[in-house]
Amino acid sequence: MRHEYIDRYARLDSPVHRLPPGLKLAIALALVISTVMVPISAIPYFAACALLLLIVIFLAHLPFRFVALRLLTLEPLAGGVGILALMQHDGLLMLIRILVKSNLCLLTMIVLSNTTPFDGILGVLRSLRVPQLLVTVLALMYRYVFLLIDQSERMTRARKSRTFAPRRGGRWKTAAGIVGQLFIRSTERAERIYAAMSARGWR
Amino acid sequence: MHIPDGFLDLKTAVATGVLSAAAVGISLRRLNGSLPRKKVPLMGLAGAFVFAAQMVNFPVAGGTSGHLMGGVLVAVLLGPAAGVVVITSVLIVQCLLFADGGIVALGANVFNMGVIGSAGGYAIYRGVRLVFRNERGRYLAVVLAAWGSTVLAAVCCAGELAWSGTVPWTSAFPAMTNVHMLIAIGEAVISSLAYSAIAAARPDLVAENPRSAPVHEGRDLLLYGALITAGVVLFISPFASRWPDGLEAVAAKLGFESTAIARPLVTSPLDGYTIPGLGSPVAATVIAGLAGTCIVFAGGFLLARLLAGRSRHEA
Amino acid sequence: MNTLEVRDLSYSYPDGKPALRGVSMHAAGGECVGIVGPNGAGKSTLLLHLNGILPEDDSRQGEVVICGERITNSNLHEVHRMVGLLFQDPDDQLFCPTVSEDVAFGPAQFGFPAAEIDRIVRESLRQVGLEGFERRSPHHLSGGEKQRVCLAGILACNPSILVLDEPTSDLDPRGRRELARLIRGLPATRVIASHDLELVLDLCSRVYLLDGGEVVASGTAAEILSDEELMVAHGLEKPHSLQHRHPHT
Repeated sequence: MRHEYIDRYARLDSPVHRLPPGLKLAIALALVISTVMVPISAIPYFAACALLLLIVIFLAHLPFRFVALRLLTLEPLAGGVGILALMQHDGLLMLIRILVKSNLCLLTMIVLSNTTPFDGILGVLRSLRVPQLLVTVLALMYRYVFLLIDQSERMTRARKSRTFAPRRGGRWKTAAGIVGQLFIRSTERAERIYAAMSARGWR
Repeated sequence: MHIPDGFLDLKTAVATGVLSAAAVGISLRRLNGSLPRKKVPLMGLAGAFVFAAQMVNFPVAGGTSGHLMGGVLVAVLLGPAAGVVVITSVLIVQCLLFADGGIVALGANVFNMGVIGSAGGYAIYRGVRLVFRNERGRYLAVVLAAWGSTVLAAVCCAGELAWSGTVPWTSAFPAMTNVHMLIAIGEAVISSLAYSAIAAARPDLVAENPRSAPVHEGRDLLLYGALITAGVVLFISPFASRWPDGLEAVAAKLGFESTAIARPLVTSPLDGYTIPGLGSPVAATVIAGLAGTCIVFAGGFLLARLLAGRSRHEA
Repeated sequence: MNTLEVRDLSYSYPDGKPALRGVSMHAAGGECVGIVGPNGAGKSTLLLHLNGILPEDDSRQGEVVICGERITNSNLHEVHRMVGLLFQDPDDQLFCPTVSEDVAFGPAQFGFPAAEIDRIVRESLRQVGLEGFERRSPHHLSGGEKQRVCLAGILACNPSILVLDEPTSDLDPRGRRELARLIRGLPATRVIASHDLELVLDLCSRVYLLDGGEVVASGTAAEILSDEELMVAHGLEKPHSLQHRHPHT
């Protein structure tokens, strides 16, 4: 499965991975908040953050190439808004500020997501007394998202191999049909899951 | 429209965070009270559905493709409270697992796409339904709700960026709005097509059960409306009031006197929200806005006719 | 006393269509009983009655008796524990983010002491041959592994009866072999509904043939499954391993 990459590094074994998830989440949050608040003139601070993250990446056995690639795919939005930011009298400084801060924050989140399996984060949310319903929704969503993406890809492949609708309108109708089917199958599966949960005593 | 970290300052993040937390709290309380346990797994699966549906490609010109955001679709199918919670969960997972959207910016993203995009869109849907009660009215309502909420969310996004001092309003507003007016058309068309596909295969899933729009829905919509209004007041109005000045300044720079009869400098008849032959930019803005809305309305009406006819044939 | 007794059970779907008509069956302690029949015969519906999920309201017609206790609305929670139900699609019942959470789900719901649950999870996973799988994510497992995790989750609740609905239908041959081996070795009373007639022949001592919501025949597995006319008349066929054998050998 292509999207296996989501969990691929989250379940490695390293000193970083073994840290409690709550600690990692708290540090990530602190890092992001402070990065947002610290003025751009405090260059040593940003350099120190970057260095810290690089050390963590090394200790966590995360491949640098993978991290760099993730960072690159997320660049475009920062770039886009950055261009707009240029149109003010401190434009260039603002652009630098945006790029430095957003990349640092992105890197933090990439490292967090690849050193902390999602069920660890769910555990933290539960202990923070996040409402039960929201945690249940998140858990079920995470569990079934890959299944639905697979279903979606299979349907797309099947339709592609059967239709000869080069017109955009036809393709939109097909794609909308796939979205519709995804929803319908989701409701049907939800009913079966409820039956399974009840059968195992869910109250 | 996922805002990454580093674009919003702390006060904007906190303000949007508070508004979003309130909206999510209202929604959770509503669901805990009225959602039958049988439907709890459906909330989770709906989140997975939105996630997967957002990845489906709707090809546009030259290799690019459009995608569904899904806030209005979920709200119309499962209710506004479910819409808010489901979109919030999707945003949380996208933020934590994919770094798509920042964690400090989560409040803003939830406000834009969850509160405005889902609950706000649902309010528009109900409003249109009040006026157009027939079969066709459903699709029109979905189209207008999807378009309107996407545009409003984009405007709020621009306001949040401007309030943070990251991008000046005069750049953010036109850029965000112009781009998203187009994207919103995509959202409107895709949402209504998907809604139509579901209605054709499983009419029971889109049945507007009068019992499922119970007494509390009006009050809920008022609460969401209050939160959205608070957001608009915070993020948009400080800039909107300076707006005519901004336009006049631009007009002066371009050697273009606002009191004289203006000749269009660019090809689009309504570019810069001014109309040739009309003196005041503010009036021109209002008229241009109305014209734009009418165009969308007409387009939506035609689309609705098409879809209502189609689902009748397929049913 | 039979561990499981079904007496004259009838049920209609919410839209009025009848699904079960006067079904009676039983299973003794430790026995493995099969239920076969064409699609739409009502096999799954019958199985859902054994665990108490159906009927949804109090419209009971007939009786289901578990270890001498009739299923009523007031003992449903205990019935859910005593009768473990394994569904056809493991993705429908493996709904937690990790394997250990999922296996622990049942025990947690039934109020097993928290200190015990970790041990029970480990023990159940060991029983199905999946030691060390605690931290794994369900979406990375194979079909056979998923089905075994589901079985572990049910065994963790220590049920008296195991009800399995098409347990091997989504499995490849290896997964099927492993699951069959596991099921064979379990001491609990087992009821298996399946299209996999070889599996039924292999594991079950007695078989009920269901068609149109009624029990049309019952007897030993060999008797029923080797009766070619009977099998074909009800949309089934004689298992290959019996094709060239005299029915009384």
